[in-house]
Amino acid sequence: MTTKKVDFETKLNRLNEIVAKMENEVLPLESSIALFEEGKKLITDLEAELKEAEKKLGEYQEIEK
Amino acid sequence: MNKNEELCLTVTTFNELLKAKFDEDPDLQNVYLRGELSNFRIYPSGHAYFSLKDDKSVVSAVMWATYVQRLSFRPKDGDEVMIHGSCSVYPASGKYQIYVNFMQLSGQGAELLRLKELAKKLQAEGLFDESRKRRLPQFPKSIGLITAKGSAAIKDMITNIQNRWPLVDIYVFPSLVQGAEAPKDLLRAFKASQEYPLDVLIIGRGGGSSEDLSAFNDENLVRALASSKCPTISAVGHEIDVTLTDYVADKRVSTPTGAAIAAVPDKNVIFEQIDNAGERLVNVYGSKIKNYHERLSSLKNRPCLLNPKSIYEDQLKALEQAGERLTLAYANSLERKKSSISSFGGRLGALSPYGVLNRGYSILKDENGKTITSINDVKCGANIVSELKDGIILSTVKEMESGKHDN
Repeated sequence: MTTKKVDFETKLNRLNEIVAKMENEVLPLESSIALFEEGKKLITDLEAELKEAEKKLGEYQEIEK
Repeated sequence: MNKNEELCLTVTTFNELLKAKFDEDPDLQNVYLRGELSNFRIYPSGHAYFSLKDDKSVVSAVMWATYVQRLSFRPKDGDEVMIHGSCSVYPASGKYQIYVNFMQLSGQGAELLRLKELAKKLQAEGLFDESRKRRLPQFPKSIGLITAKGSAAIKDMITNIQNRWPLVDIYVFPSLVQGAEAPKDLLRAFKASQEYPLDVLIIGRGGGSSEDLSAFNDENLVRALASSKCPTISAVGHEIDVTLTDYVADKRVSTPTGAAIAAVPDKNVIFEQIDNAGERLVNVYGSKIKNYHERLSSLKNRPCLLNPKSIYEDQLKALEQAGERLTLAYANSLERKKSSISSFGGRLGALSPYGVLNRGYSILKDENGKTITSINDVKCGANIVSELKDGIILSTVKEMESGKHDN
């Protein structure tokens, strides 16, 4: 996965940028769709990464006990 | 002579009488003397017998073993000493002697002066400077101990170090810590210690009877300590008596326990710190994740992503509108055509043969409904139909005559 190289914060910022762009700019349909797809992909990635990160937290707390 | 004989005392009585005289004299019970030692000898019993003399006189002295043990130096013949004791008679020999309970080299005042001079000199060289003091490592892995073999101090230090911080190797370099040989032996032990990869070196003195700290004021030892590869702790002096090793060491403590505390951290404190850090880590990490969740879900729920239709909704609406307009336009154009057709209808109606009927004309048709426009279309006797404006007339052809109308 190429997206692995990009860190979480950067991706989240990109998602933010996409949403702002879609909300505030008049875009050709093609770019809107491209942005939408990119945004969806980012959400999937980010959610997966967050879930992974959360799992680590769970592991640590278990070890602590 | 008899009378005199009655007055005679026995030798024993005489000596005891003298002893009593001596013993009741307060001055003789509190004698300070200065002199040179001769015939000094310690017997297997531990008691020391010797003489004290000056250039003209001599006096016998004895020092019981308990006091000999407290000597801060090893007396030898020729030493100029200062003693304190009491004077009494030994009845068996009829000799009076000094019962010594304290002895020090009479040059000890001078010794103190010498020590001060040495301290001044070393200080001037910068050996005691605060800037030279190294920080003790927080988590030493190996510690060297220079102190008396089997002493209470060594046990104390080892126990305390191991209780506080078990992750440390302890190297012991036993040494004499008092007596004439002590400085040399301490130096030897120090040199031996420098062969090991130590993180901290403790030089200590077993607590005990002797108040003799002189070995720890030895110039060579002090200089050696200053050159130590690792930070040093001096656990020699008491609160009041400070030795030169205390000055030169990177850290000075007054008890073996203090040395252990200075040398290693307390594992319980460290455990607590780790626990705290772990808790904070979980909290910080957890709240970071929570924060990310919030940011992500707020973005995720924005209409443009949640409801992708919104992307093309406008276009769709425009499309629908365009469609509607198209339909409308088409309908309109149809309507227009229809109305123009009906106007044509009107005009067409005017041209229709039926319109002529109104004006009094009629149409002739044969039985089959075929319009008769010529006499050739019918035969005599045929039934024909005349269509008028308000009905029909059935008739039969009687005869036909060709020719044009009058008009």
